[in-house]
Amino acid sequence: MRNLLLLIFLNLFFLITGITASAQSGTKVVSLELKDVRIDSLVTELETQTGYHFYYDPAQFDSLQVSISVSNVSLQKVLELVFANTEYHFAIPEKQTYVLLTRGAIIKTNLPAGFFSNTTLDSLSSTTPFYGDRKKVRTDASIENKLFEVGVRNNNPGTGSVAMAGYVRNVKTGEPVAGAIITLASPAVTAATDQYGYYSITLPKGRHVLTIQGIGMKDTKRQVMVYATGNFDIDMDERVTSLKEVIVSAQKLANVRSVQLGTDRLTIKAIKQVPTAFGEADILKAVLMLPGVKTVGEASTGFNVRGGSSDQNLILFNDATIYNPSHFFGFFSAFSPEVVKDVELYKSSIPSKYGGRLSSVLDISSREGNKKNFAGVAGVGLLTSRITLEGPIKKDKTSFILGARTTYANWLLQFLPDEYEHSKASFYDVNLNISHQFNKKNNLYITGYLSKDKFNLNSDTTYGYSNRNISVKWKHTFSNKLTMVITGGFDHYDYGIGTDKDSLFAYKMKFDINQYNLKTDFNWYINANHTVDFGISSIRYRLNPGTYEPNSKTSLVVKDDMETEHALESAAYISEKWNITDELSLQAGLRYSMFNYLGPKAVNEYSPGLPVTEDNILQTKNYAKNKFIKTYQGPEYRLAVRYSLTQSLSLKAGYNSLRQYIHVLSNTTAISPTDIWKLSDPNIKPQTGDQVSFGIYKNFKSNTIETSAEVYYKNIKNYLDYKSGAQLVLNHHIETDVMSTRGKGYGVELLVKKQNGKLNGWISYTWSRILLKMEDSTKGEIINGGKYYPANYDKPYDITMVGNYRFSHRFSVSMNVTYSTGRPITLPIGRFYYAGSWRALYADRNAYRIPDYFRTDLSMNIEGNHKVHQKTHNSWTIGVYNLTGRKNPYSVYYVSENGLINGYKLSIFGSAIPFVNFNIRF
Amino acid sequence: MKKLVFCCLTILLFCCKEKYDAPVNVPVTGYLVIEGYISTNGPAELQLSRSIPLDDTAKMINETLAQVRLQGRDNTIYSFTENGGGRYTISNLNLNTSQQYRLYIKSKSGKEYASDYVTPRVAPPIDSVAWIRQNDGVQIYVNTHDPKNNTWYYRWTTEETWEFNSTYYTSLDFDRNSEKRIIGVKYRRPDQGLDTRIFTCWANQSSTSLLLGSSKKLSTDSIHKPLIDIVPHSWKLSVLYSVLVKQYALSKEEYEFLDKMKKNSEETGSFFGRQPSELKGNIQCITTPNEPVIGFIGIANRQEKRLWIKRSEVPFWNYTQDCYTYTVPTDSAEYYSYLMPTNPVEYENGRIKSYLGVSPVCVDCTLRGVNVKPSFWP
Repeated sequence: MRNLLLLIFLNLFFLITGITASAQSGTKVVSLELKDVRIDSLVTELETQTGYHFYYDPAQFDSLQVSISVSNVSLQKVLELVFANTEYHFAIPEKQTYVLLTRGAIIKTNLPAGFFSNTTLDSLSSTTPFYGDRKKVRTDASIENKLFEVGVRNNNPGTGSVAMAGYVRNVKTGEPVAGAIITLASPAVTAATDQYGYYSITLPKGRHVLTIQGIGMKDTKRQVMVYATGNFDIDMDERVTSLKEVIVSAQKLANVRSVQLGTDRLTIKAIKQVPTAFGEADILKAVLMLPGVKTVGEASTGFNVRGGSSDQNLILFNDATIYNPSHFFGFFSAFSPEVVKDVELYKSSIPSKYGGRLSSVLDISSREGNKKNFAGVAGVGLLTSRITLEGPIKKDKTSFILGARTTYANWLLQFLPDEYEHSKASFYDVNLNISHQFNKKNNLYITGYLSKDKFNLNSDTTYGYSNRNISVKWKHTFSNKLTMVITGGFDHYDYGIGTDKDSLFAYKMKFDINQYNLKTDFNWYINANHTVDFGISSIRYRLNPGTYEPNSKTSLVVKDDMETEHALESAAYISEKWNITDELSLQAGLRYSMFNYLGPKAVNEYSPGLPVTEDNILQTKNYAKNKFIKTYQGPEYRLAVRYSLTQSLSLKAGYNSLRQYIHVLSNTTAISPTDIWKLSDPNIKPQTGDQVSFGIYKNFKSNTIETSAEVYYKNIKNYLDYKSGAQLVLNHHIETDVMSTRGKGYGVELLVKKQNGKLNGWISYTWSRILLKMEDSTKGEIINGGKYYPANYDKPYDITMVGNYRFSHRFSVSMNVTYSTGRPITLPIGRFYYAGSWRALYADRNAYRIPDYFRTDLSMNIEGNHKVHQKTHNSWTIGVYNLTGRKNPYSVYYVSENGLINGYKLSIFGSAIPFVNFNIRF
Repeated sequence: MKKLVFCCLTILLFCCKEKYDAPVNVPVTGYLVIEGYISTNGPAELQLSRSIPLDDTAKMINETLAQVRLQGRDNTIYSFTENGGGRYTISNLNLNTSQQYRLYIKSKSGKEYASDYVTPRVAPPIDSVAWIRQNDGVQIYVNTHDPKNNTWYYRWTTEETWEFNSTYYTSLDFDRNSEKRIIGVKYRRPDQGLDTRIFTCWANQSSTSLLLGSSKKLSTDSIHKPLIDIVPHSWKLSVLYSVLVKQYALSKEEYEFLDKMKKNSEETGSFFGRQPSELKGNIQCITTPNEPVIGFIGIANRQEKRLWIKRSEVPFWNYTQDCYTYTVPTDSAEYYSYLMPTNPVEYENGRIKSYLGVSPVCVDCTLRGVNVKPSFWP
């Protein structure tokens, strides 16, 4: 190694001093007769005969066997013969009496073309390889000092810019590194890798130093000599020493430099540090800690983003839509943490390729399996266990990752008191990803996901729900500038409720939603200043709003089958990212979406201008199969601008508009597995929304502390709220029980984040309001006198702190603190006698609030030893959820008891909950 | 381990339910509730009461000693007179249909309330109240139409009255000593005849739910509305049945107000609670504008129609009453005091040795109704 450093030093020395050197200088003649000798024998022989001194790293040459028989040949010729067709290289600097031997890297003893002036023609060694074509096990430090050529070398590269593209991969596992940033300092050009690790960057011809930063990867540099368009793959090393490194965002500068605003990215490592109720890393619980994201309720994974309802979030798992992302009443999120690579939440600048939901897109991408070796992780907790296996199917070509999780709560429930003896609860999820590389231009990714939940709580009613998803992606690279991804898939969600007992009232109820989707996305990288994304997508929905039927022969239940709904949602989009100047960047997109409600279906028509009530049904019209019953369409605009004031300070502004054609119907105060989804139809218009946002981003202390402040204002139209006494399940005229409201939301989000160091984490503060308004009596009843009223999930103040202190590499402590204002509630405030009965008197809708929410969690992560070469690595997570034992209200409700109406507050966690979790990696 | 698991799951299954007193801001005196009707030509009748807190067991708080007036824009004033129990009436009004009127109330505490100005409406009469046999029972419905196509929204109330008989006649009663203890049975009448006073009674029932209807979806203002369903074999049709239907013509706003009230009171909130809504009528508190007032004032004539149904008109009605009977030895009368003595069964030495005891409801009709014949009864 010392020799190697010496080599590098010498190399640099020559470069700096400008001493020209050439391989032609080895003119001394030698004679050799060697058979199967090692490098040291060869060198000793040559040194003796020529008097030249050889510098090399013996370790690098330990596998070299030399057999040669020559007489009176120049040293130059001998070395050429010895190293021909090997990865070894030599260099004999001019006028010097020493020889440099290297493996892989080539030492240039002269300066590259264009170093002093544009007219100097190059004289680089023609044996310089394409870096990307080589296979390595480990990068070594010399790589950063090596000069790579990109494109076909020519003597006069000329000027102008060319595109360079390639993959950034983890050198150890072969997994792509998503979100890695490739930066050129001057002129300032950056590019980021996509989820496949693919990047494309435009550089001026000539020599450059690229800086590459990746999530959880060691920063690295590459020196390139760019002649023409070419491929350049980059391998990066993991930071192996810090298994629990906190990197909330890989892109240290990304928050300041990127054009988008309102975007948060969490890596699985950051997610694993957030303490959760049962010690299991939970993706959605971590997302809830971000500014502008609020939970629907404790023990629930529903969340509200910037005043949007929980159905306004598009949750994508490798491009498959997940309708119910939770297990077991929402205690667990439905994604196994070991399979997930990272999570990106778009709150404001939603890329044009996404659509169909108003508030946010939560893009969860899974890892690709290890392409080199088999590996696995197993975890054991109080309620769940999980296992992940990954490995190559064909080395370096095809890999898989399989994650599975199950609960044994069922077995544990028998320990409960007798009153719960008939309770059952179980769930599992299975996740399989396969990635295959056909060749450099074609990749295939297959994701399968299955989750199932089943429970009953001491009753003979069983609830169950299930997600089933499959998506297939084909990525094709036309050229360095143009890539295409075709994604096809099928998503399914269903739930069922049924009584097991054979009785007169035995019933089962079912609901399901199915969607087939196909989309094609193109990424066209024109040059450093212009990138265009465009594509089309289509979703075919088939939704069964509900079936209610007898569950036994003796049952008297009358079958009620709601008519299936069909629809087609299509969109086309184009967006451009334009770097106008170094300081000013713009991303503008247009998405045009269309929704066709299709037959067969019987649709109620209501008297125009009158409230949509049963009394006002004019007629019911029947439509034939695939007949277009109603079409909604419209453009959606996406715009984001960034202006950098300094390297670490930027201003951003954005505007976006969105349309949503599918809605959740749920008027329960708690999240319930019986929420149903409803497509827009002639009586229920699509929701539309637009948002203006503005942000200031500033990094301190060489980007280790990120701060941001964002403000936003949004409008929502046709948001569904519910009329009094709405009946949502099995309602054949659901439009009579819902009403469309107008909404406005605004807020400020402040975030301070420290990514590295012993103490890391973030503090976020959010002040926001979401208000709805219903003033048109023809659309439903007027609420609160037509004034704005807070939506059910309006929680103005929200403060979150996530902190982690690493005492050593093996021991760290995490803590999070959450406070938020209580949810609004409509309370009965009295009763009165009218028209022959006592009637409850309600206050204004959502005029009161349930008590505030406050919770502190603490966890300790204890790692086993960090020796890289051992069979298994294990770790413990021990902690306490709800440290202060506060009884946070989950729900407040009223029941009539003995002629009085009494209020009750229900809490789920009434005390501090200790937890322990054991993980093993192999 | 077992203990830990145990605690974990108890927590899981919804740990804590606690009594919760919401910090609601309701005055002890409650909010004013106004119910009633004002005719264009005819009487007016209002009931003023106060809302009461949820956890208050009070029966009803009537608003007394208030000044209630109907004020016209032309400065005409009609004063209501208080009839006790929070009832305020005007016996005969004759309002100008081209004028607008409002209700003005000054409570005894000095608070002033006023409604919006409303135009008196001319209400169409009820076309018919009729009935049909349906599913073995009887359905009573109302038919109305407005030839001027100007009413569209209706509300009805019903007052049912029916005559019924006890299943058993009685001639006996308990004999009690001076300490009111039952010592045997005795004849009710000196002639040992049957006591007819507790054999025939009348019961009544007023509608307790809001009966609302709209003809708005139709091209003409004509409405058919089922009001009452009498279940098969009901005691209501055991002798003679009558229902008085009162019809109120509503404005659209009043209809919506009442419709909302109807929906609100169907459920009072629960775990999977429905979304209730606020009830805003057309009456405001002038002195404290934010104070809610419950009620909606409209002016229109009340229309009435009475329907009669005889037992003979509903063949195979098969009304029966479930009665428990037992032959009670007279010396066990006290023990069997839950059965009413009806007739002697056995005599011994001229004394009643045993008698037929029957469930009281089958003997004494006053337990289910009143034995005073209503004035309108034939």
